[in-house]
Amino acid sequence: MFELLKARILHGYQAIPDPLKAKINQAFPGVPRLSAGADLAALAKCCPVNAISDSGLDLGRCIFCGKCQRLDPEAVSFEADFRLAADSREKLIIRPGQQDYPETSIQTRLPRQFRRSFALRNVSAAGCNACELELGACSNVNFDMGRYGIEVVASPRHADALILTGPISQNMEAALYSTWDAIPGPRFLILSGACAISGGIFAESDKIRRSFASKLTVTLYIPGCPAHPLSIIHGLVTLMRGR
Amino acid sequence: MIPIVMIIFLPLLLPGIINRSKAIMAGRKGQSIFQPYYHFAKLLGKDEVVSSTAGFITRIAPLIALAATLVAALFIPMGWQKSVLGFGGDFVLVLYLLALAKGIMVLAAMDSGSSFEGMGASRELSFTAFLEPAFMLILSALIYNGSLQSLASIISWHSINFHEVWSLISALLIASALYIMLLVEAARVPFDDPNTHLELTMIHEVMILDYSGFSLALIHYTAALKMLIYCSLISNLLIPGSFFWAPLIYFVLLFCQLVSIGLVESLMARFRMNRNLELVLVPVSISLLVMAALIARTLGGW
Amino acid sequence: MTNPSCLELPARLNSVAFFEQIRKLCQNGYSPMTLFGSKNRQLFCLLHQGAELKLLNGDFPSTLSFPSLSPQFPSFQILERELYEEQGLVPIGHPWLKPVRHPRGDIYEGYEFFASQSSALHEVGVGPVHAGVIEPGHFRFTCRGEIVEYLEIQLGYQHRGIIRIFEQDDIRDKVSLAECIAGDTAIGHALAYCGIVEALTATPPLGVRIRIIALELERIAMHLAVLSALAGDVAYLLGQNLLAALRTEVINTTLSICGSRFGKRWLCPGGVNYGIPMALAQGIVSNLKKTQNRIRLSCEAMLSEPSVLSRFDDTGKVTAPIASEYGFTGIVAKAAGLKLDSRVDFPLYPQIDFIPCTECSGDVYARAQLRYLEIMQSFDILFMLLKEPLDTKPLSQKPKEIKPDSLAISIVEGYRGRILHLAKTAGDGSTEFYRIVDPSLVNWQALAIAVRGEGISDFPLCNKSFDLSYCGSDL
Repeated sequence: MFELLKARILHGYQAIPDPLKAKINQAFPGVPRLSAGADLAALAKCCPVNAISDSGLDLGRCIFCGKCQRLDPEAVSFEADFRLAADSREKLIIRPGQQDYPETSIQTRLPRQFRRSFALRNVSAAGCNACELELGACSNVNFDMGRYGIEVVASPRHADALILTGPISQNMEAALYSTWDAIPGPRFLILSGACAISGGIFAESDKIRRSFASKLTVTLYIPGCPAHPLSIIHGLVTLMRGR
Repeated sequence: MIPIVMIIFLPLLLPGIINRSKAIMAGRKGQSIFQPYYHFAKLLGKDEVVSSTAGFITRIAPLIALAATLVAALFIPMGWQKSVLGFGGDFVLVLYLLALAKGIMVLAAMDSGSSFEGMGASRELSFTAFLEPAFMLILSALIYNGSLQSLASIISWHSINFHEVWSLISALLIASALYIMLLVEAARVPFDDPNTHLELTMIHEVMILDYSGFSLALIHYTAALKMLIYCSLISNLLIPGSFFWAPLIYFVLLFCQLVSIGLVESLMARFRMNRNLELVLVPVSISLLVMAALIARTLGGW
Repeated sequence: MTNPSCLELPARLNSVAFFEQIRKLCQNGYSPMTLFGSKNRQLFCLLHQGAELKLLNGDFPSTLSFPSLSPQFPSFQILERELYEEQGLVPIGHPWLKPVRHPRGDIYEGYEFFASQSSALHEVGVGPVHAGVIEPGHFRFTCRGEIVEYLEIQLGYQHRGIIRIFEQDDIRDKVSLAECIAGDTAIGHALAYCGIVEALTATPPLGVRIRIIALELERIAMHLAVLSALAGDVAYLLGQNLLAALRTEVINTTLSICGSRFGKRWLCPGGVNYGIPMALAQGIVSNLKKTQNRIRLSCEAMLSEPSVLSRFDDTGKVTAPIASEYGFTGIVAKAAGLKLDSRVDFPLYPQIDFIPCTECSGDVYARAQLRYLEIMQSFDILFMLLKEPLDTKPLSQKPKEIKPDSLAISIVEGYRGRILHLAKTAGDGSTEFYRIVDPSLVNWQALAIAVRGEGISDFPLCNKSFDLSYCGSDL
């Protein structure tokens, strides 16, 4: 009994006061900055997921492994800014010299009825469990996305959005489509993590089927490997309520 | 007039208060107290997806359950001594209306053809088989020595009276039996976990897994209204005599009950499914005890 | 045997002698770690007894079939199914040849689940999409009312074809891939992979103390995650919230060192990418000491709470005879009483001296208590390692050239159990095969056995107490 009391007292109040404005540890690789004169060809050769090309750094493919930064710290740096989510695939490509990424990344708004209540249904389609654990962490005492009215629900019939994690294996394709069909409208698709957005490190595998993510309209992309809970919460709340 | 307003607007506040007390126990901010209202409003704007194997029962069940529970709520005293409607022996009607609401939802659960919902329905009914006799026994015991009266007058007749030891004991016993019934009917810990994501362990939530949109909103409201009914019965039982400040005490007692539900949910683990049945027998034994004691009192006359 | 290391390629036996030798070794107490076939029609089998390893090499049988070892030695059941699925070799006499990862794509094509005709029994199927935020898998229960008579688990939904990607191109560039085999065991698999590369290129790694620190931090964080989820499954919210907050403390420590909460991007072949400066190390030690105290209070409170104990005790039992017969490893085996810990049998460098914890009852309580004991043990290891300076440069060295025609083995004790990576290079330096054995591959059978006779509503609790990896098993 006393151990429980002591444990509870030491636990205190654990919620991060404002997840949207939280300060994350400096070591965290967040929004990348490419210098204007970066040698993209050399960087592209070292990237394990082909995220760097002539147009810049594709956040939808980036797994934030830091190889490019270690190769050429002058050209690539990752700021400790978790506001990575964007509402279109084109916005995820960071051009050399681009400075304004988080300011313009999410401009869509959900209809008014979702301002204070948003129900998510997660389908893990061959995710490695890191993205799933981070999504589960969003409802824990620290991040507590329930305070914004966001919750993960048990049935697709209760949900407003499907949040997909994982690159979509061929064995999960059918289940994914039937879950999507069971969600009543208006419904939205959210892709969380590099694997969901582009196949990530599994993009070249022949056991992956990308048609679901490429054919349907996607409302929100949350980059990361895995997507950090603060990124997820920031993306969702910006969709629901704006800045 | 006021009770009707309360019946319409108050129920959705109850889950909000319970969730807030759980959040404070957990050390986090948690949802707003009005979150069930926002949730309800959002659901009104959603489409409905109905499974192709479901029949007409699935469509009409939420409406019938809502109607039955609403009418039952009109017979429940809420803070004032009188309820909106009342006649001698109306507690039988209340019991049957609540049973109708539950029965139609169970039928709809089996109509959906999913094996989980069938399991949830069978678990639900196994508890009901014990709780309804307990409820009936308690209320019959309370009218044993009087004429057939309305539910509101029975409760106010037997509500706590600090001058008489006997009424103190009987009111507390009946309130605790009703509290356990509240926990079972509202699907709270230790009988069921309302936030569980494990479809194999659900009792109540599994029956609503296939509903969406407007029907789902009605179901949430009906469940909250049922919670309000039981909480009102307990509160009214514990309001001493014909106190002038009865409504105020009613709200205080209501609040205390909700916070206590939140506390129990945070501090206790859920029972194993086969142990649930053991605990459901407690209201039955309390009701038999109260019935026997009231009979003895009338015959023995102390 | 040092771990990781290159092994001598054993003499090639013909297939009859190969299986005979396996049978003889198993009769003498050896148990299999892996059995597979390679592209050029060779069979390999790795067996162990305590710290002794035996590698056997044989030809494909000309009839493309062989007498099954499973009836006599059940630990081969999933290995033979895997061999059949990958190479088409039929194990004659196998009790139930069911798909492992069904790479052909259609899950139920031609496969009948084990079903009973009795009218007293009913079937419940759960998955692949589950109600919570977890990976997909299918569970087919045969129930009598609320009691589970039989459970059949069908996985394979997570199959991403990761082995094929490992075997392409340069084996030295695959660390990010290794971290994604199972994201919650990123450090365990990455460490095993780095060991393979270092053995194949004869590159001694740097920053070895930091690697062990990373591994133990992951062990603590994931054990806390499992304990928190166990509390959530029995609706013990206080325990769930306390332990989840403590896990955040631990993974934020990992974040402060390498930038990822799961330790991704920390390790690389040849060393580590991130060291721990003295100031950071001191902050970490003081923070972890406070966290350890809070964990002790929370776990002791939770594991002595009567309502929790009434759920945990006697649920989901796996006894020692079954565990050793089926070859279970890790938490499953330790909770049943078997002393199986790769940190003792196949220690990495630097070797840590300790006695692995075991429990004896093999139920959910034993596994929970065992996780708590392992957490405390890992803290002691961490504090010991954090005393020395950990930021001496350089932190890693580039791997040298790949040795051709070499076979390397690397074993790591991940938080679930023994992780095995085995790789061989061909004459031109390309990868002939790369095998990954996650502890979950064999341990899933433990869940199927443990729930027999339990209530179906206790299944999620049992499942979580094992905490097996779907994607580690499916690859």
